[in-house]
Amino acid sequence: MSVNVDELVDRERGLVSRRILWDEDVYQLELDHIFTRCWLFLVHQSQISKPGQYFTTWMGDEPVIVTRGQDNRIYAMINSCRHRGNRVCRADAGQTGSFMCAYHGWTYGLDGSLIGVPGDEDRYQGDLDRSQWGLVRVPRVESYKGLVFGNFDPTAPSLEEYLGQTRWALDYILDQRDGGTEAVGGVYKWLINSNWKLGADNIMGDNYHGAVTHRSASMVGHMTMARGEGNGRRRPQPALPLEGKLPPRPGFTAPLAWGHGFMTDLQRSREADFADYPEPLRGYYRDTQPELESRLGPVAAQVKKINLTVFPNLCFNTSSNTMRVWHPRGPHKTEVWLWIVVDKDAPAEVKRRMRQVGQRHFSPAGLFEQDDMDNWELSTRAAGGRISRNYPLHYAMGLGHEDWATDGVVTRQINAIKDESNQRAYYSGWADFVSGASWDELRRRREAWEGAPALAGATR
Amino acid sequence: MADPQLRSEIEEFLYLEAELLDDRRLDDWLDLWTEDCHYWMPIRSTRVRGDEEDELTKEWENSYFDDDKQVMRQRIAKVETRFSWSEEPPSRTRHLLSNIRIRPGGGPDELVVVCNFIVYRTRLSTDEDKWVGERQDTLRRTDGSWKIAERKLFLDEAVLKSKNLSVFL
Repeated sequence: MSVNVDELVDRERGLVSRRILWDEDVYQLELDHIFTRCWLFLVHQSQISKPGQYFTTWMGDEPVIVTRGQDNRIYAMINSCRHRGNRVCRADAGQTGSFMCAYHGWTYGLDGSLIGVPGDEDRYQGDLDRSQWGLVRVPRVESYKGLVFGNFDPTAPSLEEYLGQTRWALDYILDQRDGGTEAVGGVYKWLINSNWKLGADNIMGDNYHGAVTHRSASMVGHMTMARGEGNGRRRPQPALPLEGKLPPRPGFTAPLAWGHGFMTDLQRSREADFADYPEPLRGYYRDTQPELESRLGPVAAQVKKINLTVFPNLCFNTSSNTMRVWHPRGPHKTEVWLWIVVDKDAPAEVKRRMRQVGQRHFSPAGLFEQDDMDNWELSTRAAGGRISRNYPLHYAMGLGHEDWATDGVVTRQINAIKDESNQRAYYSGWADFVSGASWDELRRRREAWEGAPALAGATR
Repeated sequence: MADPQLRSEIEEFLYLEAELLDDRRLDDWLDLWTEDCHYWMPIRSTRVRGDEEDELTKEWENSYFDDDKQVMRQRIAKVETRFSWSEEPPSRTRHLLSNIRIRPGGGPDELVVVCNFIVYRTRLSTDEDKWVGERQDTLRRTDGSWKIAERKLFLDEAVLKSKNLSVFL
């Protein structure tokens, strides 16, 4: 392997090499240094709410089973029998007391311990120490407000420390109401021929592409359509102008360390900004406003929308209630998994409307989602060109012109939403991890970027 | 067994509908639907035997499509803007129907028509997708002609191998 990470991400000039979308040796470094060290999202707690329930997923290239044990604790382990390596669970989800390997019958409990070996006494004659041959456990499993994460690195910081200042955004997503959130039944899963990072960098910071990529959806009044109103426009209307000075867009951008980042639209008035929502959604947002404000503070109460990426591959878009993971399947292929997350205590009709908003915007048939995929597939494919691979991608919008806030909700905050600072933060964090920096070194770099370790919600 | 004349009438209707889709005559296609129609495609997941009940998402859970006629109209209008990049240049599709079964519907003027389908799509130079599954259509006779009141699509695959669903199945 001969990968010089410094040549891949040029932080001073905001340039990113196309090799990171294509090269197998770069991808192997990602598996080595990102997917075995970072906290990776596993499951929403509501998906395994009862003892014995399980959900199978991926951590990088490792298939993983997540279970709720009879002791009500959540376990995660690699889905591979210790005898010959076969998968011990072949379903996406379900309920069970144990997992029996279909090859020779080694059987494991919900916590991964080896509890059954056919013909043990006769064949192994007492030589097999079952305590040493359980499924490989994911050593760290921790939760944040309903979201369960796993980490293969025993020396990694706690999940809370890892999430750092993204928690301000996560609290807005997960903690507006007393009952927390739940995942609507069913996970969307689909394969795209794109590198896994393009979607992650898009969601957290690309406020530029909407006017072009999603132009058709805007022209036909997708918002009213997605919200189930009968006044969608049959005859297309002009979309946003592409040229000229941008209309003022209240909000801020938070390009954080370790590859995290989010952007937040703030509203002039909650009443006005949710006026185009149909009932019962409009009423729901109005009625839950005091609860939100008392729980999360005045700035959170002004939020219209948050786009968040938790490094490396977990993304949120609040206006569609969606959460997704970009599972890498090699450098050129990604399996996208998408959830719709709603307030647990919301009335059924509100949940139904929220689901429709989510799936009509962002799911494989979603009016927004449809048009992103070709872009990323064709960007990925071009990265393999012998000539074009030598021409870096331009991520320098707004570099050096940042209007840094001094009194924001996070310590690294720009008073605008119109540049590519979040994408630069993503690839800067990516380079830090891929270079193999120690956690101590990563902590030093974070402090240099974000200032003294600050907790989210500083202005509460 | 359905009366041969009825069967032939229904088959003609389904083939015409498929032709309109493959010929991209989407406005004409939409005219074949009732005003109160519903177009729904749940998500399938892999489950063990005995757990079949949870294999497909329920009506109140996530689905690929949960459209009324207004939403279907928006999808067509979106394509017509010519800025709908997933369909620009357009997908080329071929709807293949087989194993057609005709069953009584909920009312005297309704039938439930079940069939197997393959929709093949190719796009740009070499992109290829196919969607395979079972379709359950509720057809309603209105003013002497058949209209589609409901379409349920049950894909066989649990992970879509297509980058998007930008065409009607």
